Amino acid sequence: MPDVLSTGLSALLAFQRALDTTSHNIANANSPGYVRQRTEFGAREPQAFGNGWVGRGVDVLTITRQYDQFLVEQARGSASSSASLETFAALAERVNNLFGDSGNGLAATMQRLQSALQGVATEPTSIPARQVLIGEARGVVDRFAFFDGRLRALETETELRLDVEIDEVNGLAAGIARLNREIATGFAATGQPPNDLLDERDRLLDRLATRLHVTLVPQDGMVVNVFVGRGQALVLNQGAARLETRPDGFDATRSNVVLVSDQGVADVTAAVTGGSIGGLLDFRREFLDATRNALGRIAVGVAESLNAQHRAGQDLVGDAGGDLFRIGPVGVSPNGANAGSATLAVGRSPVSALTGADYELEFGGGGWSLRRFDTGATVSLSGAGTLGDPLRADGLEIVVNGTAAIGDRFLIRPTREAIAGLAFTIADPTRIAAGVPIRAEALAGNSGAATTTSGEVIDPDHPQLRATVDIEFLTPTTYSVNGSGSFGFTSGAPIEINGWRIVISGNPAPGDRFRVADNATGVGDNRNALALAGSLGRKLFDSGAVSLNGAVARLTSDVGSMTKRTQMSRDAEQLVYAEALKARENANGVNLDEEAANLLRYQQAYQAAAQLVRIAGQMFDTLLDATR
Amino acid sequence: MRVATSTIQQAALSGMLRQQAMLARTQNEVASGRRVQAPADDPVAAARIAELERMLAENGRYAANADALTNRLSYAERAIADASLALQRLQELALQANNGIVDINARRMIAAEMRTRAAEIVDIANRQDVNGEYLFAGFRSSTRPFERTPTGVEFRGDAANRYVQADVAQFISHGHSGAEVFVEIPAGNGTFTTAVAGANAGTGIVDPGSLLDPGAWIADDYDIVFTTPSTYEIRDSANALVQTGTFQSDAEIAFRGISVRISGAPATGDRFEVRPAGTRDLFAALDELIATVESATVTAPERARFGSQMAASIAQIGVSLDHLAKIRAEVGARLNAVETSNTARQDLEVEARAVLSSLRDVDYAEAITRMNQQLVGLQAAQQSYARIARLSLFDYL
Repeated sequence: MPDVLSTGLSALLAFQRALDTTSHNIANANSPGYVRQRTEFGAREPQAFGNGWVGRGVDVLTITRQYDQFLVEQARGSASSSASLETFAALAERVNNLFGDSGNGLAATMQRLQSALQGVATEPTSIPARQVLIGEARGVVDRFAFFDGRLRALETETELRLDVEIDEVNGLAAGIARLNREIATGFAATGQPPNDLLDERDRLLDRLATRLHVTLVPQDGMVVNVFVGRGQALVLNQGAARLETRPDGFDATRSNVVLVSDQGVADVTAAVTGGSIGGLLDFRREFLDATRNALGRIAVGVAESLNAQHRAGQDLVGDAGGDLFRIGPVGVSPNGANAGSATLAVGRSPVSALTGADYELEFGGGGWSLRRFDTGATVSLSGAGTLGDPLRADGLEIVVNGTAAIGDRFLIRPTREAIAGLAFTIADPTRIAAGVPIRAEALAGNSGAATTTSGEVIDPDHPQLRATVDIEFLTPTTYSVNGSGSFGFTSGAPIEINGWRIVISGNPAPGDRFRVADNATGVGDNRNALALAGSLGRKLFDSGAVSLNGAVARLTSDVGSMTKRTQMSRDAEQLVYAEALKARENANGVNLDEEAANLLRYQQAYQAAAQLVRIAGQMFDTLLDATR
Repeated sequence: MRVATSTIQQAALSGMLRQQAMLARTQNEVASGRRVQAPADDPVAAARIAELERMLAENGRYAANADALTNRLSYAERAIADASLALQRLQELALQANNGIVDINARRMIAAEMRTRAAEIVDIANRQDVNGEYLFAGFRSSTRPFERTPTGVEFRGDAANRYVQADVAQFISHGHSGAEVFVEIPAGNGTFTTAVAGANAGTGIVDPGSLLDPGAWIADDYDIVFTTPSTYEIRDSANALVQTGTFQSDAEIAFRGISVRISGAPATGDRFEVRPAGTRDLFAALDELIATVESATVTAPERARFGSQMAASIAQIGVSLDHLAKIRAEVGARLNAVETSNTARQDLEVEARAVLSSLRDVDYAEAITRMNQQLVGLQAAQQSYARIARLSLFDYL
């Protein structure tokens, strides 16, 4: 039977519940991830009387979360992209700052080396000038080592952070699985959603999304399954799998990300995107590898160019110049799973054909195939792989020793390890080869008008290089060599004998003699020093399009533009993320003014309900008084 | 539209943080004076800045090279000028000795001074630069290039020239080899030499001759042989007859585009040699001059030979002086080239610095205006936040 007392009591209880919810909202106004709750009221079933249906008061139907699924998912997706770009950009900025200091940059250091080479060219007999050259050459080696060391440190840091982030992911996955269980239990027990547990799980999912991109599939209303990569389950109902790092098959210093579950172990390195883990993997693959390879290629270019030129020279005591620099070898790593006994010896030749890429060499039964890592393109190989006829492609010479099994693979890094082994080998300033071992000159008494260049060395190892050779003109168009033979002469055409080259031009008279002789005492000779200084500016890379100085400038601008690009993407994504968060908060978050209004509303309603109870009492008293 | 309380706070806060970050960046630009601080600030500008800085450093090196060149070329010029002075004195002395009235004793005194002067030229040819390198030794710059031996002055350097880079594509030779300056001096009049054969009995004197028609001249050894005291024939190296003629003292004998004059009275069988000019070592020429000056002039043939040889030697000194003047002009031209490249490089440097500044340096007026705008923005954000944050319905409950 409806009566004022029970109606009033139902209202009192309902508004008390509503005030509870409002105060819970106010209390959690600053809890991150908290979704505001609302008490849902419903009128009780009315009772039928002859003269109509009389209401019986109010019931609290449920307490709902003011939750917009779409906005939450949008914010979560944006969180993944934003975290990925932020991680990438922060690391890229550090490389960028590394290359930013123009005074100590590579370009400046290489310029100082060139300047020191010029200094030796200007004063070839000056020991101080040679000391300066040794100092600057060591400076260049140090600078390369510095950059390479910093990049290596960043690589180590990336590996460490990967481990830390993966630990975090595992903790979050375990937490989500646990909450799935508690939520399912709670829901089963009451039939009502455990709102605060749902909030807690959403918070964990948000944090997970900042580590890596996840796909959520709800199940049975309350439970959520979490998938990573290409549909690998990280959390399935109440059970969680684990992410782990495993050493790469080629390179044990580098970790791959694997998912360990009941189904076994799956490598998800290439499939993981987004979040800080995605950012770390992207940075390692797109930025760090490319930068280290490019830097290594420049180092190889500098060292090999100067070495080749220096070998063609002679030093202050008349000995042939050796190598100026020692260079790290080509990095070759066999895959851990190789079954054959084959090993590779890989050299660089010609340096000008080297690219900044890494390669994978695979034995496919019929022969070897080479694939570039960065583009994935197959590179055509020539040669047989023997010592006499090595496999050749992109500036590499590959000699295969032993026997390979089908499917055996090798990772080849042409330039990455070059800087680790880079050193300047000369300590004695007199050992710098500023001169050229031979010298050509017209002998006194020539009556013709022909002149000769002073000569250059094309084969420093020729055994007869320093032997005296007389070229005597028999007629204006023929000459003999050391008194024998008759060779046709064309003005301006190079004459190559015994590993040297001279150019005689003009009109020689019969009997004119030119002599090419040992220049061992030519301490004032600076021809090789000039050539050394020039070799840094020579167009070397990319089929003669890019000089060493150009390659340094390109590296700097590549690092700069890549950093700028990620910075811009990051800034844009951060705005999108901020907007998504704002939209989510506006829908889900607490507005204190609103809660104050609700407080007022429910308080007034509660007071009114209390009045109902009082009136019910008075009505009862009136009735009692009437019958007294 | 509904707004969550946390959004109001968050939006205001992130707005202020963003403004602060921009302000910090602007402040950094103003403080450092650099617009581009790392490559990512402006990758294109960063690459150009690196290239410009490299170019400027390279220019600095070329300037140092040019200084070294100027230094060295000035040394060489001084040395050649000094050698020319000494040679001029030798020329005067030779003319003095060639005067017919100077007797043997006077000539010996002249020869003594000549020896001193010749030794002075050897010393000049052995001069060193500031680094202790011999100026005229070619590549063998630590070997003393001219050494007096019992057989004369020997050249121990080589004929090579060192080049120094004065600009990107400009290589300037920093001197001349001693071979070029002192050894390979054109002999005679530059085309041929004349001489009196050693066994002549007459008193004929031959002059150094001159070139009439370069097209008609065929380089070969020619002998003018007197068949009688008044007739001669000219034969080439194959002993083929080139020309015969009647001799008249001091008259021109012209053949194959050249002319020589023989004066005096040659005897039958006397021979005068005409040879294609090779090169003549200055020191050997001076030694010969001194020997001639000291030689006896008792008999008529001796006097004739003396006359011919003095004429040839004096002519050779003249050619040598011309040769030194030519070398000195070449050194001057190189100094000019260095100077021109200096000027060009300085112009380039001014231009490059201007471009560098426009790429890298901050425009202070713009940066400070921007900083003021950002300051105003930040202040406005702070003040509005402070007022909005104070509003709450709870204040009125």
